[in-house]
Amino acid sequence: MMAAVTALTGLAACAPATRFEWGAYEPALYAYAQNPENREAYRTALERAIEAGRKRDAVAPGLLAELGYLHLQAGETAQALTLFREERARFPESAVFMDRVIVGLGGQAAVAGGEAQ
Amino acid sequence: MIIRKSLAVAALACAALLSACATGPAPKSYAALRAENPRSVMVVPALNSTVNVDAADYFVSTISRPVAERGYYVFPAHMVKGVLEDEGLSDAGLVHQADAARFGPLFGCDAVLFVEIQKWESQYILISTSTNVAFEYTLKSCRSGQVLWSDHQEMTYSPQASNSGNPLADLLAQAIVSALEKAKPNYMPLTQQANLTATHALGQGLPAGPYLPAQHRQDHKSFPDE
Repeated sequence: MMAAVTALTGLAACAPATRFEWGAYEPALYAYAQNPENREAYRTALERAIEAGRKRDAVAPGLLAELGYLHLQAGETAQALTLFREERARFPESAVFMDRVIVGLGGQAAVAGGEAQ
Repeated sequence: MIIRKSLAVAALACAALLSACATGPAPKSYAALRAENPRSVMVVPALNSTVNVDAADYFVSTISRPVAERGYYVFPAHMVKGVLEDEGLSDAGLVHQADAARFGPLFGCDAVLFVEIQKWESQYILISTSTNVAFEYTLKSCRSGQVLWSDHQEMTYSPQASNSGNPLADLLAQAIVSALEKAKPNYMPLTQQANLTATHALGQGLPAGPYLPAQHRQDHKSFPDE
C-alpha cells in the first residue's frame, strides 16, 4: 500500500498533459470494432485527432496509418498512400512496415532517410 | 489469493483517489529493456482466455494510447490486426505462440507487446454487481525474442447507490444500480485504468521512450537495473 501511494505521488506530476492528440480515437475504434456501421464515426474521429495533432506537432503514432487503412479498405488507394507516407515521414520507426505496404500498393517507397512528404 | 485481493483493493482505492495508480511492490529489473532501448512497440491482438467474445475488440481500443504516452512509437493496432489476418494469422493464439523475433523483418518493430485477457466478467450476487478484469502484459524483443518487461493487473468495480438515510429506499436504489451494471458492464474505464497503471506506474511500468526526450534515458532511478 505504501509503495502504491509513493508511486502515485510521482505519477501525479506527469499525469495531466498528454504527449499526443488522441481525440475520440479510443471510443470510436471500440464502437467500430463492435459494429462496422460505425465506420464513418471512426473515420471522423481519426481525422479530427490528426488535425488537432498537426497544429502542435503532436499527431499520435499510428493514427495516420489507421486512417490510411480505412481509405484502403474503401478502395481509395491514392488517399491511403498519402497518409501512409505521412505516417512514415513523421515516425521513422514505421518505415519498414509503411514501405512494405506502400510498395505492395504499387507506390514508390521513400528513399531511406529522405522526406516522404 | 489473499495477497492478490488486497492488492486489488489497494489498486481500487488508488484509482478512486486519482486517475492513475500503482500496484505490486516487487521491484523489477529494467536491465534488459534498457540495454535494448526500444523506440517502437507493436501491440498484437490480445489473447482472449475468457468466455466473453467481445473482450479482445474492447481491449484493442484502449492499449495504444497509454503505451504511446510513455514516449514510444506504437504501430497502428487495428491495421496490424488486419495485416496479420492477411498473412494467415487471424488466430491470436497462433500470434502469441510465434517467436517475437519473427515480427522484426515483417514490421521493423523493436518490441512486441502481448496481452492476455485472463478475466473479463460481471458477477451479480444478491444486490451487488462486481465487474472484474485481469490482464497479463509481456513485452518481447523483436530482435532476440527475449522478455523485456512484464506486468499483471487486476481491477474490480462495484457501483454503489448513494445513501439517502432510508434503508428500504437505499436497498432498492442499490438493486437498480447493480442490475444496470449487470446489464451493461462498464468495462471501458476499468480496462483503461488497468492499461494506464501497467504502463505508467513508477518503478513498475515502462521507462520513458524517445518521444519523451526530457526523460528518455534519464529515469534510471525510477526504473533501476536490479
